[in-house]
Amino acid sequence: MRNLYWVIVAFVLAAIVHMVTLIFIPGMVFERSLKRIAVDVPDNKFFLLTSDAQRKMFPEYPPNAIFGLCRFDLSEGPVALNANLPSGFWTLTVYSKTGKTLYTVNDLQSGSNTFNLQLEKAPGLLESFSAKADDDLVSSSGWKVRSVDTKGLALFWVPGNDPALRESLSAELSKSTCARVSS
Amino acid sequence: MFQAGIKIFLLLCGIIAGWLSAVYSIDAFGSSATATTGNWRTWNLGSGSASNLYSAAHYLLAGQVPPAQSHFHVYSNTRDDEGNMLRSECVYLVSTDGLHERWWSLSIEPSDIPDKASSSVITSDQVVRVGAGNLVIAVSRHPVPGNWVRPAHDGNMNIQLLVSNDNGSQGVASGLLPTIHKAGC
Repeated sequence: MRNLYWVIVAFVLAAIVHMVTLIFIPGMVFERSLKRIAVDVPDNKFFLLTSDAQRKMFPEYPPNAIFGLCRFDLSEGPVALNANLPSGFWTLTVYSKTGKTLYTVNDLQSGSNTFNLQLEKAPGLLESFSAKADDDLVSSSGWKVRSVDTKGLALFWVPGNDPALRESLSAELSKSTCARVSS
Repeated sequence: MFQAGIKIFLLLCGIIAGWLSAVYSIDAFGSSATATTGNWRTWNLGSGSASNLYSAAHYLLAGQVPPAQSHFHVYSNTRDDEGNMLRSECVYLVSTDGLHERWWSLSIEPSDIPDKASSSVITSDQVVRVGAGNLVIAVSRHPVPGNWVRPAHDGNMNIQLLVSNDNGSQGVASGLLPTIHKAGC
């Protein structure tokens, strides 16, 4: 009977470890791997992923695929993503820092290979109540993604089917930019 | 002293059981069987789905970026159609009449050994179909004529299929997913 209490505690501990393993640890691991992929590249700067990093983070994609990334940080204001993509199949996915998908678009959905996407912090509860009607009009007039997390990842993917075209596709994609919107 | 030992033992059991159950449930609940034939499993990464927590953890714990389900459907298979584990020392034929989606890739995992002579990934742009659109891909450590993909490691392997999401949430019809038959060892 004395040990029954500790058996129950062990069950509760097992449930806590189970949930922590599934809810918190994956996001922490993802955040750490995001930091490691290009330590010398600051936040809010667009860059192409190296082959080694690509092999680790996207093993199911072919080596010729091209990945363009922007690790954004919205703590000091919105970030503008100016996309410049080659014609053909491509995808853009915006993830939170814990790997949740916030926004997706591909070439067919966008209808254009060059566009601007503004990333900004989602308003808090108080800010939502105090927002004026005009604010909603402004925010719905462009492509905007609002994130609860201040940090995250915008990821461009181009298949790069032909190895001979990889260089020119990379050059096209590298014209994309990611920068904090100056106030 | 003995009582304290029992308490510590029970707490350790709780921690280990919690960890093991999480690791088990990532595979068990993150993916689900796709068909009555074959052994393909699909990873449901759709936002809001009950399995999303587990399927996302599958990628994130490996330091990988989970594909967005609105872009791709993900399937994986560790067994041939006879139910045997896939082993890289054997030759397998992966074949289908389907996979006419806009883009797909078939990869063999683990795939972390760089190999410039060959790749453990083959895509829809690289394959050649024969006859009435039938597609056959050989999975082998040694070169094979035709469509060929090379496992990077010795031992057990996992075939991963990434298919562009052309038709919403339905994914590839289960009858059109490739069959996997062992051709020899």
